Amino acid sequence: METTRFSLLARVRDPDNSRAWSEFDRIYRPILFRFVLARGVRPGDAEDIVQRCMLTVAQRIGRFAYDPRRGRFRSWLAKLAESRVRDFLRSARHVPAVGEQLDRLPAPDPSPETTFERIWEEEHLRYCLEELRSELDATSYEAFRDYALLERPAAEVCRDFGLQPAQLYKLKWRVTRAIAEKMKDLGC
Amino acid sequence: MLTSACVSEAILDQYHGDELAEDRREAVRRHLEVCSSCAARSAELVRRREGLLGRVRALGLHGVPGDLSPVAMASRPSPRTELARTLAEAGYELVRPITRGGQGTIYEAIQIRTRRRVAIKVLAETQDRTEGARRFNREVEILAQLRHPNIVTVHDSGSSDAGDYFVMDFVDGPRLDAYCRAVQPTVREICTLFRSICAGVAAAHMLGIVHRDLKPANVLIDPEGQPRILDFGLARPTLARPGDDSELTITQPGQFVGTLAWASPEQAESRPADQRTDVYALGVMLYHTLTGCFPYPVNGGTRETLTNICMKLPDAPSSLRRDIGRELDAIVLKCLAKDPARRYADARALEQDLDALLEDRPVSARGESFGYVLLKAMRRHRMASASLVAALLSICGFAVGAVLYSTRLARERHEAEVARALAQEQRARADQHAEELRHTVYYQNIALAQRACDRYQAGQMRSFLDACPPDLRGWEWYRLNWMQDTSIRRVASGDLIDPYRDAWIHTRGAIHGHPIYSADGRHYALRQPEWIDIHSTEDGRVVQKISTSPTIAHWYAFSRDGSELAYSDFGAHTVHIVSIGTQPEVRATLTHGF
Repeated sequence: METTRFSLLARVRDPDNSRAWSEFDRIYRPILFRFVLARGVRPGDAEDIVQRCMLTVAQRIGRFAYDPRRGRFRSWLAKLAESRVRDFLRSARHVPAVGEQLDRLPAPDPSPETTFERIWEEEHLRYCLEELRSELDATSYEAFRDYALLERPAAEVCRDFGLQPAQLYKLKWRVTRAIAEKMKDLGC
Repeated sequence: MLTSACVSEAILDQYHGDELAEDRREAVRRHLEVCSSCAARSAELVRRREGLLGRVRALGLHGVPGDLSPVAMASRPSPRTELARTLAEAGYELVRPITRGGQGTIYEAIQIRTRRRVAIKVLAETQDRTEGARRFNREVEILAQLRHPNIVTVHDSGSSDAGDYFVMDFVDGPRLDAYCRAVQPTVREICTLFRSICAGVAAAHMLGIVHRDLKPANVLIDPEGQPRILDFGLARPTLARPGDDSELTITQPGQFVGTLAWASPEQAESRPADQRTDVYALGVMLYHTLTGCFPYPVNGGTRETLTNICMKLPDAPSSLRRDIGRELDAIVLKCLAKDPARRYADARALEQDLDALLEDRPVSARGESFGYVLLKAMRRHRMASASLVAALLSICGFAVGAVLYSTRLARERHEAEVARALAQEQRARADQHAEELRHTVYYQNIALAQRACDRYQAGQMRSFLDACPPDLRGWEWYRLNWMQDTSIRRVASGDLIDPYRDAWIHTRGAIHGHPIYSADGRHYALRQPEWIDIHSTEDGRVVQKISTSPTIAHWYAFSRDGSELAYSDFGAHTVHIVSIGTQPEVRATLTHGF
């Protein structure tokens, strides 16, 4: 199965493609924001940092457009965000939270890379699922969600949505495949 | 034969998706029975897809978009999930529970639109749905107006199956008591902290809002070290209502254990609370923060504690901590007076006294003895007082005879004059305070009227405007009044729409835009999610529905003679012209290249 669709990174390179940009923004801004928050920056400052990251991304996105090496953009973005966070934490503007001053028990903090990867995947999955929901008709989506995500018994879902079991399994397979394809398109 | 050929991954995928023709599918099936490597690849594909689904499930239910079907809801009745769903619809994503208490649970959440961190408090008991809900909303509206750097602002509210909820600022910091235990502030730092707390409470008192449940757990210290007061008006029936004696009825023993220690005598006796109740609680908090002790024993049984609150006179804080001065003693004890009339009138007065203490000015709690005022003045102007004292000493020798002669009578006359002057000044200050309050209330009403206007609630808007005292009404009032007036006049005559019952142009529920009128006055158009309704101005009925599916119309306008309506789709790339009348038809569709 070859996808004819250009990857998002390739489409974003075209400065006139505003739809690609808004799609891009919808995926990557929340990732950056959640990551910066998770690194202990307060929301107001986090917005600034994210905004600056997005600007850098806009300037340098061209490099990644046709790069076949998967994950290169992700690790670059993770490094960018982490270095911006470090710059900020070092700067005078950062007032340490009281918690840090009190030296309370620090939560077992996974490495920034692990955090970034987790948020990256979660936001991508969420985005793909939302995309699919807008592409599918409501009944199919709900049947899929009830059966595959909420794990309701197949017999019940079939009864509620008027489907044959074979149709339901087929639906589940196809939607799951579509998610996998979307994730692949996004370079995950 | 096909059975002998190994199948590609794409074919395997189609096989599982049941997308192959009958004979081909059968061939793959037979091949998988005999070819172990293809069977393994097939199993691997299934495993990968299931793994992907598992990761999607791990997002949590609130990560799954879409309303749950009624059946799904019935089979997943967990209140937490329900809550997440309701909040997701309202635009919030739950992150984690922060605290769970008798009153409800506080969650950390993210406002999806702004990606901002907020705290959501879900009240344990759901308010009475009809009358209660209306009052609840109105109170939240007023609370939302309460903006002060020392108060945690309430932004939004709503109802879920788990209970009513409030959305407020997220404050990342410890509670007042935990903070003080860790930081061990000096007396001066404690006074500074409490001055800020009082400033927050005073702002609420200006609006007639009483907290009623002030305690260290309701004060958080934010990362800047500023105190932020939580739960304003949320703890109990919120706004001060005269004659309301429903609060803190100690009928169920143990119910108020957490709060009882901070309760005032009037609360202990189930008498009405007012601003001075908050002053008392601030006094208990100040006492406790300074000395680490309560003003009276509160560890015994409920009854004993209640008796202590009402009867037992506290020791001066300085008896428990050496570095507390007499002024601060006086301030704390004045807050803790059993009789509300003997306390500070409100938090502002307490704030002013703390301010005076911190700046070495006379403190009102000490009373106005001449000697005390002089002492304070001297302490404030040390250099000047030193030379003054020297001069006085030299004069003293000559004056001593005269001073002795003028004795007590003259002094008493002088003190009476001072007292009169002070009383006059206090009256003037009280008048000024009342006037300020009137202005504040006026602007609150204007703000609420503006908001009602934005929400097309002409009836509510009227009541807010009417509440404005005539002598304060400025251009802003007349402007809003004109808009409100127009909105009612614009509404079609007839019984369908009652302008005093929340309606402007109004279709119960969602309102999607301003109505626009045709020049001939026969129709008005109202934008809906996927269509435009053309209403007759005579009776408000919908005479025509123009579909704008799949989007909402961006802008729309009548032609000059009122026979046609033009609208653009949301991307504004296309303009459609539709004729109005018995036979709806699309006259033209223009596509722009912009």
